[in-house]
Amino acid sequence: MARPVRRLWWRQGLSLALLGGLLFLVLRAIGAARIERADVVFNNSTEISTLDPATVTGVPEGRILRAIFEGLTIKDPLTLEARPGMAERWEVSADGLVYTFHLRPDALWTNGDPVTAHDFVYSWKRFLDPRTAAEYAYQLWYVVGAEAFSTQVGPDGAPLNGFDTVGIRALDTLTLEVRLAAPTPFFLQLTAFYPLYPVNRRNIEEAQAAFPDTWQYEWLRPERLVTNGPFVIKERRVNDRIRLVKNTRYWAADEVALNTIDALAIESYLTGLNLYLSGEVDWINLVPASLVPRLLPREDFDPTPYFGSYFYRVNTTKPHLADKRVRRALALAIDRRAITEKIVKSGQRPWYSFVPYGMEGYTAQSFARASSAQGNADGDAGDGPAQLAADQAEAVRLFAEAGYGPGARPFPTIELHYNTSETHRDIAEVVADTWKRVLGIDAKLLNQEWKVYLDTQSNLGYDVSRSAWIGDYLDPNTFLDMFVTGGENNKTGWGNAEYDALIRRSRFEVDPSARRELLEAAERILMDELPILPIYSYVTQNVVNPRLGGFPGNLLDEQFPRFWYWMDDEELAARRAALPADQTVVDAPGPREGLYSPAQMRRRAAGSGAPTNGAPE
Amino acid sequence: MIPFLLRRLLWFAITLLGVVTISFFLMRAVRGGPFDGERRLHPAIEANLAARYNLDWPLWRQYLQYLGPFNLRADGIGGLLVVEDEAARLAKPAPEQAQGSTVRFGSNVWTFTGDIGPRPFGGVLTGDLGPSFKYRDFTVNDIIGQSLPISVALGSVALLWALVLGLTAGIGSALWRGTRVDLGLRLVATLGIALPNFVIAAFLILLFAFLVPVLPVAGWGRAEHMILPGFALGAPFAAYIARLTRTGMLEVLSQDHIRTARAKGLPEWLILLRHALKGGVLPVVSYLGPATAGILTGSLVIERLFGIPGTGSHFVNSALNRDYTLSMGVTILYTVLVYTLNTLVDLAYTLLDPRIRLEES
Repeated sequence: MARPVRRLWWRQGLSLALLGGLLFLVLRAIGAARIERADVVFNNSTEISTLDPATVTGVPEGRILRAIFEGLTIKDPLTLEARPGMAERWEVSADGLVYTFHLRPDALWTNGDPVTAHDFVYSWKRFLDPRTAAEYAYQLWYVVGAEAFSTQVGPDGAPLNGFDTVGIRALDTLTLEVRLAAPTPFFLQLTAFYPLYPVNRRNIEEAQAAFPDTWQYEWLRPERLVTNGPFVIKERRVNDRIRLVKNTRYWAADEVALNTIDALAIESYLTGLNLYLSGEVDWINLVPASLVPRLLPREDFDPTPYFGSYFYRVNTTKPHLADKRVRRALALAIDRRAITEKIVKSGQRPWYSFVPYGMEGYTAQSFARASSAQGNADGDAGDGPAQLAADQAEAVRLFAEAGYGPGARPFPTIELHYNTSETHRDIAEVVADTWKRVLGIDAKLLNQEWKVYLDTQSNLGYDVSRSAWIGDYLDPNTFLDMFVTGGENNKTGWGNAEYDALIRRSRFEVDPSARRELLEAAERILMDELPILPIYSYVTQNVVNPRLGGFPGNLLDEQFPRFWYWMDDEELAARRAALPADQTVVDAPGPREGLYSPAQMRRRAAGSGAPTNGAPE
Repeated sequence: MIPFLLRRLLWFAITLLGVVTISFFLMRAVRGGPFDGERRLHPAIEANLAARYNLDWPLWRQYLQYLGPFNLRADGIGGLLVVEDEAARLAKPAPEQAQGSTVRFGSNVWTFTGDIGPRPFGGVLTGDLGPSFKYRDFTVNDIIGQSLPISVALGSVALLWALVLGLTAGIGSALWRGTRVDLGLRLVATLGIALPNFVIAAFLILLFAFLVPVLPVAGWGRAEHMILPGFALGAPFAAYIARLTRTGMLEVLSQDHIRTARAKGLPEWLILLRHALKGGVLPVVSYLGPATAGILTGSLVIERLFGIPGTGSHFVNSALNRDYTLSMGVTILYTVLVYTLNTLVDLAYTLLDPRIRLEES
C-alpha cells in the first residue's frame, strides 16, 4: 500500500501547483495592467491600424496622429482654416501653383533634432514611393510629377522616375518649395492632413539598421518613435489603450493644458456609453441609435452638421435603371423625413443633393423636385407632407413616362443592397416600402457582410446599393471628383463627358467664385442624371463632458487635443447660462478649479497666480 | 505514458498541418481582401500594396512562404528549397555590393541592402505567424503575446468562479437531495445553462455598476475589473459543473465503499471530502479541458461587453477584416489550446482514477 500513498501526495501537490499557478497568473496580470487615470480619457472606438502617417487612412487613426505629429499647417478647431504649424508662414504665387513654406526655427523632434525642410522632402518622398504603398498617396498628386512618381513602377517595385521630377524641394534648411500641377485651393488644408505629416528620417533609418527584417514595426514602437506634435505616445497596448503624455519639446508646449490623455479602443457603442455615464471616459464619438432620443435633451449631446452624405448608388448599367426618368422617380418617391425622424433621429437633414449641408461658400445643388422646391437644397422648405405628396405624384408621372407602372410594362424586382447593420436595414425597409406603395416596385433587401458588400459594389453586382461618403477636406471637390467617368469610387457605371470636363476645368480655375460655379454646374449634372439617390446629410454623434474646453464642433468632426483643457466652475457656469432652455444639465466630473484654461494660461504668462495643479516639469 | 505522448504529438502535428492548410485556402477563397475599404484604391496603389504583402504571387507560393521557412523572396523557384541563412542575411554587405544607399549622421555610418521592406513571412514552422494586415504596427506574435495573458487571466477568474460555485452547489445539491435546497440550486443551475452569458453580464452591470455602483462598468487594469466579467463568463460553466458534480456525487454516495465508511462511523463531512469527492468530481475533471478551451476562446462577447483587450475579439474581427495572418494565427492558437488541454485532461484522468490507463485509450 506504500505506492498509492506516495502517488496521492503527488496528485495533491500537482493540483495545488496548478491552483497556485492560476492565482499567480491572475495576480501578475493585475499587477502588469495597473494604470492611473489620465487627465482626459476618450474612446477612439477601435484599435488603430498604424501610427505611420504615410500609410494611414482612417478617422480613429487621425485622432491619434493629430496629437503626436504636426504638419506644415494646423487647422483652426472651429473654422478649420489653416493656421501656422511647423511652418510659421508661407507664400503662394499669384497663379496659385507655387507654395513656399518657411519653417519655424524652434520646432524640434522629440529626439532633440530640429524639424527641417529636408524632413518634409524625405517624408513626402517616402509617402509617394510606391514601395511604401500609401493608400492616401493621391492626396499629394496635386504636386508636379507626383502621380507619375507613385504610379510608374519598375519591375523591382521602385519608381521609374527620379524624385527630381517631383515639385518638392528644400531651398534651404528652413524653406520648402512645393510646385503644384494645378492650383489647389484646399492645399493648405491638405498640409494639415495626417498623411502629409513629416516623419523622422533618423528614426526610420536607425531602425532599418538595427532590425533589417522587422524595422517596419520597430520604428513605430513607443520607445523608438520620434514625433513632433503636442503629445508623445508613452504606452500602447493592442486593443486596449494608447497613453499620450505632453511633449515638453513641442514648440507651443506652454499652450498645451493636459499632461496625459488616454485613447481607448472599445468597439461596443454601448460599453463606450456605459463608461461615459460612469465618468470613466470624457468623450465618446458614437452612440447606439436607439438611445438617441434619450440623449438629445442632455447638454452633453449636441449633434452638429458633419461633412458626410448618406445616399444610394444606382447601377446605371442595368437596362431598367439606365433611364434617368426611372432614377429620378426613385429619388422623388423616398420619404426622407421618415428616415431622419424615425430611424436615425439625431437631427440629420433630409438631403436632395450630394455635397452635404453646411459648406460655406458653396450652394449644394438639389435634384429637380415637384413645383417650387427646385434649386436651393436647404431642406427646411421642402420636407413637408404636401411637398412629399407632390414629389411622389411627379415620381409616378416620370415612371409612367418611362413606360412602367399600372397598365404598362411591369418593373423588374429591385435588389436593395446594404452592409449588415440594423440602421441600414431599417432605412432600406422604409425605402422599399415607399417604392412599393408609390411606384408599385417590388424591392427585396439583400444584406452582405462588409467586405463582400464592398466587393459586390465595386464589381457592379447590385441594383441599388447603400453608400456613404465623408469629406476628407472642406471642399466640394472631395465629393464631386468621385463621379468622374471610370473613377475608382464611382461604382455606378455612370459617366458624363460634360461632367468630367467641368471637374477638370475646376482644377485649373484660380478664381474662387468661377471655380465654385464650375463645381455647382457639375453637381447640377449629377443631380439631373441621378446615378445616386441622396438621402440625408450627416450630423456628429459626440457625447462630451461639458467641462471639457477647447472642443468646438466642426464640419469635419476633427478634434485637436492640443487645445483641450478643463473648465473651472466659473467658466462652466457661464457656458451653462447660455444653454437653450430645453437642455438638461448633467454631471461634469473633472477638476473643479480647471486645468489651464486659456484665462489661466494668460495669467500664468503674465506671471501672476500660476495654478498649482498638473504643472509640467 | 511516453508512447502515449509521442503518439499524441504525431497526431498533433498532422492535425495542425491540416488546420493550417485548410484554413489558409478557405480564408483566401472568401470574397473581399484585407485592403478593400469604403474608399477604393487607385489601381496602381492597390498593386503596390499587393506587392508589399506578396498578394500578387500565385496562391501555392504564398502558402509555402507562409508555412516557411523557405526564402521565396528572390524571384523564381530557385530559392524554393534554400533554407534561409540568418547569419548571412544579417551580415552587413560590403559597401561596393550594396544596392542601397549609405547614410551618415554624427559618427555613424549605415549601409543598406536594396531590400526595402521586411521579409513578410518567416513561416509558421519557425514560429513566426507573420505581420498582421490590419494592425500594421504589430506582428501576429505581438498581438497574441499581448492579448493571450489577458484572456488567460480573465479565463482563470472565470474558471475559479465556475469551480467554486459549481462544486459547492453540486455537493450541496447531492447532500440535501430532494429538499428545497436541492430544488433551488438545480433551478439556478438550469437558469445558468439556459441564459447566455451576455444576458447575465447585462444584469450584473445594471446591478453592480449602476444601481449599486460598487464595481466598474468596463475596462481592464485593476482587480475589480475582473470580477463581473469573470463571473458572467464562468456562470454557465458553473451551472454545468454543478449538475455534473451532483450526478457524480449521487452515484458515488450510493456505492459500497461509502456504506463501509459510514458503517465505520466516520463523520459525514470526512466521508464526503475523503471518499466521495474524489470519485464524484471525475466527470468534472474530464469536462475541465473543453471548459477551459471554451472559456479562453468563448470570451468574445464578454470581452466586447466589458471592453477587455483579450484574444476573443480577434477570432471574429480578424475574419471580418480579412486579416489573413491574424486570422490564421488565432486559428492555430485555438487548435493548440484545445489539443493541449485535452491531452492534459487525459493525463489528469489517470491520476485521479487508477482504473484508467493511458495505453488503453
